[in-house]
Amino acid sequence: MLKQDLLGAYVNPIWLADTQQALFKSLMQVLSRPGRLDNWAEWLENSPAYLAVLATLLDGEVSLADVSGLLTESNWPLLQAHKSAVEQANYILCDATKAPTFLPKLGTLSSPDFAATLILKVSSLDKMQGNIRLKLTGPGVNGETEICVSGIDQAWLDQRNEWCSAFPLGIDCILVDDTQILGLPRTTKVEILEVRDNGGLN
Amino acid sequence: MSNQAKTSDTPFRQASAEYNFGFLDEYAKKEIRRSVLKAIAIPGYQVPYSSREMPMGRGFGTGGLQLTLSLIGKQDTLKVIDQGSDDSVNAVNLRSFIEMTCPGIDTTTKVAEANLIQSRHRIPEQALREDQVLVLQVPYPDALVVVEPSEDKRKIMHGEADYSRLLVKLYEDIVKFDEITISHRYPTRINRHYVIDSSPIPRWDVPKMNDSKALILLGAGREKKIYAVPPYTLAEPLEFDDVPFRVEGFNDETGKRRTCHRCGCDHSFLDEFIDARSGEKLYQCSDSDYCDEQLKSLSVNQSLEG
Amino acid sequence: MGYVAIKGGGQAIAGAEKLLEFVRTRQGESAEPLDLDTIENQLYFLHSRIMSEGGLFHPKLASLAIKQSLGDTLEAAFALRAYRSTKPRLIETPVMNSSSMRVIRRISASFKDIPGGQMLGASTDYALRLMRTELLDESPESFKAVAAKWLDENRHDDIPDTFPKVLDALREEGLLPPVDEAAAEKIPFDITREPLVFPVPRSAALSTMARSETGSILAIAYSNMRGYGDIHPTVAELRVGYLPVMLPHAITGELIEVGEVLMTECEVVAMYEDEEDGGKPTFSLGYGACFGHNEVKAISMSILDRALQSGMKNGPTNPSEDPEFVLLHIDGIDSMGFCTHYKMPHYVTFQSDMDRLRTTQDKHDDKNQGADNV
Repeated sequence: MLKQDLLGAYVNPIWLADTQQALFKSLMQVLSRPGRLDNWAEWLENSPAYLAVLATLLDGEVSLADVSGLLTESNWPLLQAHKSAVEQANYILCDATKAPTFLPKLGTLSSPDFAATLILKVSSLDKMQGNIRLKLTGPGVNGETEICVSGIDQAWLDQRNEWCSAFPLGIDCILVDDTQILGLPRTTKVEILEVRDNGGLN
Repeated sequence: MSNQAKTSDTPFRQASAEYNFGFLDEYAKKEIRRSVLKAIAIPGYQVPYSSREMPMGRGFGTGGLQLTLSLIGKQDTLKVIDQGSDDSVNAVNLRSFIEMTCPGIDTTTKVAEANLIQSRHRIPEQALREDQVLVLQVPYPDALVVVEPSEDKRKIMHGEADYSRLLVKLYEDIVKFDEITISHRYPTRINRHYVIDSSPIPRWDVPKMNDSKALILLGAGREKKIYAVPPYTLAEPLEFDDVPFRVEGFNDETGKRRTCHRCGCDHSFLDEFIDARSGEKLYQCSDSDYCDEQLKSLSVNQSLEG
Repeated sequence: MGYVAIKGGGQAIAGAEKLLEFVRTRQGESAEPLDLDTIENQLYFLHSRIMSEGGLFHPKLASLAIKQSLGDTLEAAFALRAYRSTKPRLIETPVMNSSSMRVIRRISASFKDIPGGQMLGASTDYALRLMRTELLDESPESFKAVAAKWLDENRHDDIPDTFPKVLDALREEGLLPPVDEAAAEKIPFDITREPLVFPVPRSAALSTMARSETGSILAIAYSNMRGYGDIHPTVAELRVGYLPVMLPHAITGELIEVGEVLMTECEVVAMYEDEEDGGKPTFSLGYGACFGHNEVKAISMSILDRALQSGMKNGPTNPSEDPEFVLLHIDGIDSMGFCTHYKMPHYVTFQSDMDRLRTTQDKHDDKNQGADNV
C-alpha cells in the first residue's frame, strides 16, 4: 500500500519520516546486537532493503559511493547524498558477490567515527542455512551467536577482519538481503565456521 | 497520565504544538541517528554531533532530549525520570514537552511499561530488558577533563586508550584520603578501551551498565557528544587491586542496613532528608516507581497473610 | 506519610508559568501591550543584539522573543535560536562582497580621508551620557514631530548607497596580503550542521563568534586589548548597513536579490609579522561581522579573529589566542543554560558526595585515633 505524504502525494513509504523512524530503531537494534536479524518486508513496498537503509540514514550532509551500480539515477535526488569516490565516502553500497578492490575510510585514532559504513547486499541471511556459517562474538552478543550468509565473496570477510584489526579504527557493516538486515559493527569478532557449496540445504 | 498535572493550558505550552513531530526537523534527527550508530559501533567513544538548540536550557537534559526525540515514534511508551522520580520538576517539564511535540506516543511512570526511558542521575533499580532503551542525560561527557582541559589532546589520549594520568589522579586520592573520592560520574571502562564519564549517576548504578540487557545511550547537548554502552558489553569502573570500587553504603552506626521509611526496602539507593516536623533524619528510596512497586507487593503480601 | 521531596512538580511548573505571565501583564488595565514594531524600532540596539546572538535574521520573531522574555537578552536570543534549530537548511547563498552594502554608517580610524569619506551615521560614540529628562514625559505628538522634522530636513539622495572598501586601497599599496582567492572557494564550515572538533577552520571560528553573546566576546577581547595579547589593532573600517541577499532563481539559476539584512562589519589591521617563507612583510587582518547594528561585538570579534589566527599558527600564548578557550565559552545560550541548570535538583549526586565525605572522614578519624594510641 502506498502512503500519503503531507502534501497528499502518494510516495513509497521508505521516504516517509514515520517509516524512517521505525526502520532506524530496527537498525539501531541490529547494530547493537550483532546476529539479530530484522525483517523489513512490511515497510519496503518492493524497494530493495539496501535502498531503505540508505533512505533512513542519508541526507545532503553525507557522501555515498555506489561501488557496484546498484542504484538508479532517480534514487540519487531522493537520497540527497553527494556522490563520492569510494576512498572518501561516508557510506559505501556494494554487491557482496564481488570481492572488494578498494580501501574505505577507517577513521583516525582521535576520530574513529570518520570511518565508512558499508552496506553489503548479499543474496540471503538466515540463522540456519547458507553458504558461509559465521560465529559472532563481542559487544552486543550474549556469549556467542551464529549466522549464515549466502551470496558473499569470502574475500569480504577476510578483508573486513583486516580493516577492523586495529580498534578503534575500522568499518561498520550492514548486511542486507532482499528484506532482512544484519549489523556487524567493527567490534564484532567474525569467525568463519564452515563454507558450504550447497547452502547447507541437505 | 493520570497523576500528572495538565500543563498544556498555559500559553508557553501551546506554542510548541506548531512544530514538526519530535520538534527537530528530519535532517537534525538523521544526523543524531547516524551518530547513534557510530556510538554503538565504537562503544564508549564520544561521537561529536552538531546538537541543535532545544527550547530548554543547556544543562537541563537537551542531549538526552535530542536522543529521545530522534528515536521516538507513535508506537513507543516513554518514561522520564530525574533524580529517580517521574514527578520532579525537570522530568515533568521534559515529559510534557515530548508529549506535546510527539502526539500519539504513550507515557508511563512504570519501568515495566516503558520501552524508552530518559533519565537524569539514576538508572532504575528494576533490571532493564532487551526491548528497552535507556537514554541518560550528560553534563560532562569526558572523564579525562579532570586531568586535561584541551579536547584536542583528550581525543588522542582516548584513541590510544592512554588513561595513565587519570589513574595517577585516582592514586593521589588514595594517598591523600585513603579512598577514591569520586562520588558520582565514576570513570568506567567500556569494552576494555574507552573510559567514559558514566554521567552523574551514583556509583550504586554503575554496575548496572555492565553486561546490560538494554542498550544505553548517553547524550551531552551542550558539549555536543553522543556515546553508548551497547548491551552485553563490559563496563568496568576504574579501580586498583588493593582499593576496589565500592558503591555507596547505607549502613547505620551499628552496621545495620538502613531501610526505606516508606516501603521498607533494604536494597535500593536511598535519599536522606530531615523530616520538617519531627526533625528526624529519614531515608527513602530514590527510585519512586520502585518504591511504589515495593509498597504494592508489601500490601499484597500482607493481605495474603491477613 | 512522611515528607516526599519532589512530588507535585507538574503543578509547580504550571504555577510558575502562570505567575511569570502575570508578571508580564501586571501593569494592569491602563497599559498597552508592547507591539512588535515598537520593539524593533524603539529598542533598535536590543533587537539587533537578539538577532545576532540568536543567529537568525528574522526581525518580527526577534521582537516577539524580546516581548515574551520580558527583555531578558539571553532568554530572547535562546528562543530565537531554538526556533531556528527546527528549520532545515534548504539553500546556501554565494559568498557576498560587503562593498555592495547599502551603508548607513562607516568610519575608519586609520585614515582621516578615506575613499568616499567618513560617514558617522547614527552613533552614540560622542554622545554625552546625561539623563535626558525631557524624555520623562514624552508626548506622542512631540515624538512624531522629531522624526517628521528630520525627514523634512534631510534629502535622501545626498549620500551614495555604496562605498568602496578601505582595505582595497591598502591592498593596492601592497600593505596587505592579496585576497586569498582559494579560501573564498572553500565551502565554509556550518556550525549549525557540524560539531566543532578542534582544530577548526577559521570559518568555524568566525561563525561561532558571529552569534556569540556580546558581553562574553567583549570580555575575552578586552583581556587581549588590556595586555593578555599582542594585537594592537587599528580599525581600518567599521561599516553598518544593509547587505543584499542573493539567491539563484528557481528556474533560470540567475542570482537575484531576495532581500537584505542589516549587518555590522569591522576590519582591523594589526602589526605585521615575520613571514616564515621569506615573503614581503605586510599588515595582518582581523575580521568581524554580525547581524544587526552591534559595533562592540563586531570590533571584539575582529580582534579575536586576529588573536585566534596567531594562536592557530604559533600556538596560544594567552586565553584569547586559544580557539578552544574562546570558542567554547562565548556562546550565551550554552553558558546561560549550564549556569541555570545548577538550580535543578542534585539530590542523588549530593547523596553520593556525602557518602564519600563520610567514608573519608571515618578513615581520617580512624587514622588519628590510631596515631593517638601509639
